[in-house]
Amino acid sequence: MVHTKIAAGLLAGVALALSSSAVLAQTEVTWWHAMGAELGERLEAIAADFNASQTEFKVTPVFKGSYPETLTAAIAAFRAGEQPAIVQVFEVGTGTMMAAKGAVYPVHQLMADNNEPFDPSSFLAPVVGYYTDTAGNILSMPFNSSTPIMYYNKTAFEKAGLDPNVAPKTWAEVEAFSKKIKDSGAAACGFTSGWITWVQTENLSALHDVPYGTLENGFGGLATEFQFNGPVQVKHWENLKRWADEGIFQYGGPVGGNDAPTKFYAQECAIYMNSSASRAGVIGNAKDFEVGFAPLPFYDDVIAEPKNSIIGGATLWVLNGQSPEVYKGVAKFFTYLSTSEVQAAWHQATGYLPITNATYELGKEQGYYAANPGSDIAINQITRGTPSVNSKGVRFGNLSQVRDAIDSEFEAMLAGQKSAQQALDAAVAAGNQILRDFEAANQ
Amino acid sequence: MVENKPFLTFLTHLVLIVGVVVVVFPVYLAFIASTREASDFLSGLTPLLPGPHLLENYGRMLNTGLCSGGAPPVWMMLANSLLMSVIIADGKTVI
Amino acid sequence: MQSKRTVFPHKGLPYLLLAPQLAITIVFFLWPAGQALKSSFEREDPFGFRTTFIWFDNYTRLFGQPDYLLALGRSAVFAVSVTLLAMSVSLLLAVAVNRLLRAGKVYTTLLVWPYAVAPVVAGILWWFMFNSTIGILPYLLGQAGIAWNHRINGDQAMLLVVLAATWKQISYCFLFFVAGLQSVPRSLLEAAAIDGSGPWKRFWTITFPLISPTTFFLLIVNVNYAMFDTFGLIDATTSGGPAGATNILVYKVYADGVLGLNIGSSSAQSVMLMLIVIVLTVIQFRWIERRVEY
Repeated sequence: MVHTKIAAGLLAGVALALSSSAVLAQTEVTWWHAMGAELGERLEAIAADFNASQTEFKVTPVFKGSYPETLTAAIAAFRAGEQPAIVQVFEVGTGTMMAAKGAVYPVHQLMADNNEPFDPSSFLAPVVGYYTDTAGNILSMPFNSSTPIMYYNKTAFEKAGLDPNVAPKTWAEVEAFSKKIKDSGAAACGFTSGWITWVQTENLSALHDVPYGTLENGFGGLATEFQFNGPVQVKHWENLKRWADEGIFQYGGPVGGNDAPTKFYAQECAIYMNSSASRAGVIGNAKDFEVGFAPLPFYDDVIAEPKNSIIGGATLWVLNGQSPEVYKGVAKFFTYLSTSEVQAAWHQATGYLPITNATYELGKEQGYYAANPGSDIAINQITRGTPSVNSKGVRFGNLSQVRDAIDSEFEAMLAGQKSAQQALDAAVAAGNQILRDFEAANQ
Repeated sequence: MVENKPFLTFLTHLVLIVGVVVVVFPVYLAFIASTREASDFLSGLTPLLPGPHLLENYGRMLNTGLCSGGAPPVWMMLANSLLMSVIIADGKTVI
Repeated sequence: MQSKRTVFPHKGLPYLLLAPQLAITIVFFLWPAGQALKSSFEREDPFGFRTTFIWFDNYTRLFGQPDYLLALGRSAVFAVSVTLLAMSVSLLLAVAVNRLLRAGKVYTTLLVWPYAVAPVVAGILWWFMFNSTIGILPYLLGQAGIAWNHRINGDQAMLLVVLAATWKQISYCFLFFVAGLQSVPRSLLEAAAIDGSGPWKRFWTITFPLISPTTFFLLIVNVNYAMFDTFGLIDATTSGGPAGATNILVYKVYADGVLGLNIGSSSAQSVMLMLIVIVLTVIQFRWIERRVEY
């Protein structure tokens, strides 16, 4: 009696609430990303601005942890039918995403299906080339691409008697400068580096125009094999080991090398090589010294004019299984993302590369690069010269697992268990096994 | 304890004090860390004395958290944990 | 020996009472274990589009990898070190606390609350203390002339994770040992003292055998903890490095499954891990329980 009345009342209330909320409902577009700390705040600002600029769609960014965690979460969600609309996947996950044809909604198709303007040529060639299939179609939306550069401690350079405005250009100069810094006591070590795999092996190969793998570094197909145990890479790893023993180089840890930034901020190491996107962190945490920016060093006895560096970072992939309304929202959001104003703000605040040519022009017009020395080092480095087949980038399945094997061999070499040649040979063997597994699983 | 040897008592206290220091030191460090800002830990040696940011840090984590850093407000997480542990404890006892 | 048996009036009642527990065991333990078993016989791409049944390929591959055999050895070293260290230190502390009457309560409180710290947090705290740039311990060790760099030296990395894992367990073992020690009848100890045995002899001939149920229980719990619950700790401190020196079985399962997206191999490894712990537990019950005096 009373129960039924209450139940009826509740039901009516719920129905009313539901119907009214349906009228006011915005289509929600979930966006899973891996940007934490300052970068995450910037990303949320972009989403908030988009939401404020229109009322039909609402982009909801969700921080899922590191890049591997975000990718795994997205895959698990997809298998459970709970996948987000957009997921930010790092460049080493490209192979995995491209092979998952049933899960991925290619961006060029999404934009075409939703009648949104999308001109592939407006994007920066080195950025977009990484994410295009063999037919020239862009599969994912570039968002935060970076390339490694060199940061150095100008104050320490001065203390060591070096010109603070002259950065080392070649590895010979890095060795000489580091020795001087260490001998003069300006810092305990010369240089450190994040991402031994990406910066000191993959980019090394690109800069010196030597192959990383067969079939055009993997772009040509799944039957590719690794070739990074060549003379240039072996020589560089031997040098790293020698410099580590001499105390000039300090290892920052596996994967991203999380100890390396600390060494630079604590002024333990005077030179630091890492992603251009570390810029925000460097400026924020380098408290007692002045920071200089420079392109990566190279071996001038191997190549006279180094090639362009290759990209890192991530792009936005769209997953299947959402309603057409949601995809309309995704397309509109992507158009918003590629406007020069949004891109310029993101690029200038974070150190990630400008994705479109128009963004770069806008920055020049605004006088941003003139006012902020070193802010255009990354883009100049990635667009210099003509890319060769070895500097277009790399595309291998399960590349993050391969990188783990490379890190492991590097550590074994540093511990004196193997020579550089043995370490690289073992890494190539392990990597090839991983590639064959990927090929077999994705036939 | 049957005999009353003062040396043994002294030894006992010594062992326990060393034990407490070893066991408590990391948590003490965590407390120190919570009273300082992030940059204090990125340069030089880990500080051993509390800093001035106690209220500020705790207030921020409890209220708004570092949403973009993957840390939702702590009061929400505390409430969730409390709810979960009560339900699980009751469930286990009943079942 | 008298055994009490409860007699139920209704034949089906015991089954009904057991049903909820059985349901939970089936849903949360048997079903996932079954899934892992099934996955371990397959090779599939991460998104689950292509699944091929490959019999025991994953398993034979595992044993062919030197990596896996090394991980087995490392897990054994890790488990033994953590168990021995945690149990001896906590026993020492428990015996010490047992000697004191009033001060003992204060010490007990101080020694017990680190148990509330989650393994990942413990890992991060130890990461801070041992960090070669900003950590306090490498600084002190450097003063003593020992160069500490667990990023390069595999033995130091293993030492770091053993210490961190032991630290976490000390409080738990300590609690149990204190309770166990208090159940030792004082009359026995006094009688022995009257007969002329000193504290050291009394401990080993009377106290230690009488706390053997507690010791046995803690042995199993600690081995389980070292094999399964230390994943968060390794992830936060060494990520299995350097060069795989701390890549214990449970971490390898994560690394291959989540990071490497190789679900088949990861499932095979977790099945192996489960079998290892089952065998260890059976061995412990068969051989060691005989020597436990209840």
